[in-house]
Amino acid sequence: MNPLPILLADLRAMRKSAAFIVVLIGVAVALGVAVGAQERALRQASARAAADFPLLIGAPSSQTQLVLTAVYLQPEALPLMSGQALNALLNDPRVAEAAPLAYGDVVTGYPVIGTTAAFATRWGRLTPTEGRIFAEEGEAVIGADVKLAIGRSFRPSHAMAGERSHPGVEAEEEAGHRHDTSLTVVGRLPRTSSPWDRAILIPVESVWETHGLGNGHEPGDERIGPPYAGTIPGLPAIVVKPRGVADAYQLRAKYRQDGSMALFPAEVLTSLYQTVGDIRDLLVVAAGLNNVVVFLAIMLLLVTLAGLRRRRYAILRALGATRFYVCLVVWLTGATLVTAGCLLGLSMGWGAALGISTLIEWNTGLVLQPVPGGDEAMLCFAMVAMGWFMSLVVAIMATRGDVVTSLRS
Amino acid sequence: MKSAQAMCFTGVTVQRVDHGGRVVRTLDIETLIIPAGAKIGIAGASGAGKTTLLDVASGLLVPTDGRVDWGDLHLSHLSRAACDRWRRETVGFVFQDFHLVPELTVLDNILLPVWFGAFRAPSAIRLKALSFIERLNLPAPRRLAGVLSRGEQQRVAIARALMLDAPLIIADEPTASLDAVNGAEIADLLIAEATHRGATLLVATHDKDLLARLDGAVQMDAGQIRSAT
Repeated sequence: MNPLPILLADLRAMRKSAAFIVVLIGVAVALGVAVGAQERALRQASARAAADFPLLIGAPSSQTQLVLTAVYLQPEALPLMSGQALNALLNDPRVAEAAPLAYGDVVTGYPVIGTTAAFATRWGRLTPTEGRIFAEEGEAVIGADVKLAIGRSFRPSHAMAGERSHPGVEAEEEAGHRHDTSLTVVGRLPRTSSPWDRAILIPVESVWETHGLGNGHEPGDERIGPPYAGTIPGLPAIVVKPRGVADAYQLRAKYRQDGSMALFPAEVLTSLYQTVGDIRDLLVVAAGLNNVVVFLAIMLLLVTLAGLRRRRYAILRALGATRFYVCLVVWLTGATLVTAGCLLGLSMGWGAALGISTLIEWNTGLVLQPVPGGDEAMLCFAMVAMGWFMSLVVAIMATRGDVVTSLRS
Repeated sequence: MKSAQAMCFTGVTVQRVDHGGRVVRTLDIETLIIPAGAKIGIAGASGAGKTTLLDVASGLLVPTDGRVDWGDLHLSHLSRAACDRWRRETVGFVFQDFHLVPELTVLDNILLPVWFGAFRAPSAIRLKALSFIERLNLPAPRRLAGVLSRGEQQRVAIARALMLDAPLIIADEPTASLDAVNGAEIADLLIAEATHRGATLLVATHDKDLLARLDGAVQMDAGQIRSAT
């Protein structure tokens, strides 16, 4: 037997209702898919961005704020910790690497961060795609997305805390707070898919000098990088790469006292993920209930549509179709619509997640790559299975009646 | 080719419960024998039981009592599935309102009964359908049935009924929805095709011209046969 000609004729006959059903299911499924894919992409991207920051040390304040500012470059003023901690850390046998992070300046919307040449390459992981890493004060290396040319000179301005700057756009405020120091771009870093792609990295000594704090070395010593000497100016954050796991925990314990705060960004992210995950769960449950309601409505609609076609089905029976044939036609109609709706929902959900990711990337520089994963596939699979089952119920209901009665109705 | 058989109704009654809860006998036939290949009209006022008789004859309706035989086959004793199969192989239906699938083409409507049993219509069957289209002077095979005139639709419906060489053609008021000229053409076609293939033709109709051209007529009233000629 071949139910396809009748299936296609039925779909053509009720094309408006069919399109409505497909879109309705699509929207219902898309919500769940988008929430799941988006949340996972956000988790992956933020974890990837935090990978270069095993241990952060700063002055006691909000742990979350330290992570948001140090790792994701959210423009907020962090309290300063004593610069002496930097030397202590550099000399600590448990520390593999340590680098200062000095925030606060901005150039045409790009944050300027003072650090060491070693951290600029993420301790050797990154190699400049153009030019080289800074080698002396007054030089700068820029992130992949910074729209400045190599050799270009600029004067950084003092950024205003809480001011949301737009990369590449010079805010009015900038001109009023411009420093005298001139910096020259000498290299460009490869893409890291993190907010650091929009950052300008300069020697921490330049930041200190710009603000009249000396250069962290003995007078007359113009080299950059550790070891530091003399009065080391205060720092908002120090990023530390401990030698081992035990070292990491010992260091964290040690710097959790005496005017400093130490944390693993991954730990802070985990608690943030928990909150985001809770919200995700709530949305998924809401989307699930929403789907149940939509599916019940669709089932009623299918029952009504099958009822309206009772006579056509009775005619098929009179012309010799078995009850199974008619049942198959009705089931296939429902199953086709539900499957098409779920596939549409999967692609719409993915599309929505991509759209939201573009917005997040535009706002933060964090590159999200949402891809529907196992959970979303399971959701769609469950929806398809439920739709097929419900269509079967509709099909059995639609073919249960008496043919003669339907034929003469 | 399946050949027509004599059809026998013996003590056939059909009862149903009306809206008031009373049991109504809509068909009550002591004996009716329709010889193989006969072209018989069934006449009577509306509600006389013409359609019920056709439903029983096609196996769509199982009588409350009595037996219906098609040659050696006890129709009323067949299982639902066996009866469906018998109907597909034996009965060609022509309805008053044609009941084509408007979204399908002329060719696909004619091939419809083929799909109940096979996934693809063999090329021999397609050629046969196309020859029907030519011989019965039907519209182009690719035209959608929904856009045809009433006369054209009924001709397509007759082609559909003849497609599987049904030895029993059952027509329920085949000319009632048509004007006189189209009605006469359809009557010609039905009689010619039934004669051509030796099929039994059962026609419920009010159309006196059509009745006059058949081999015999059964006059019905209140579910019973008043006269048979």
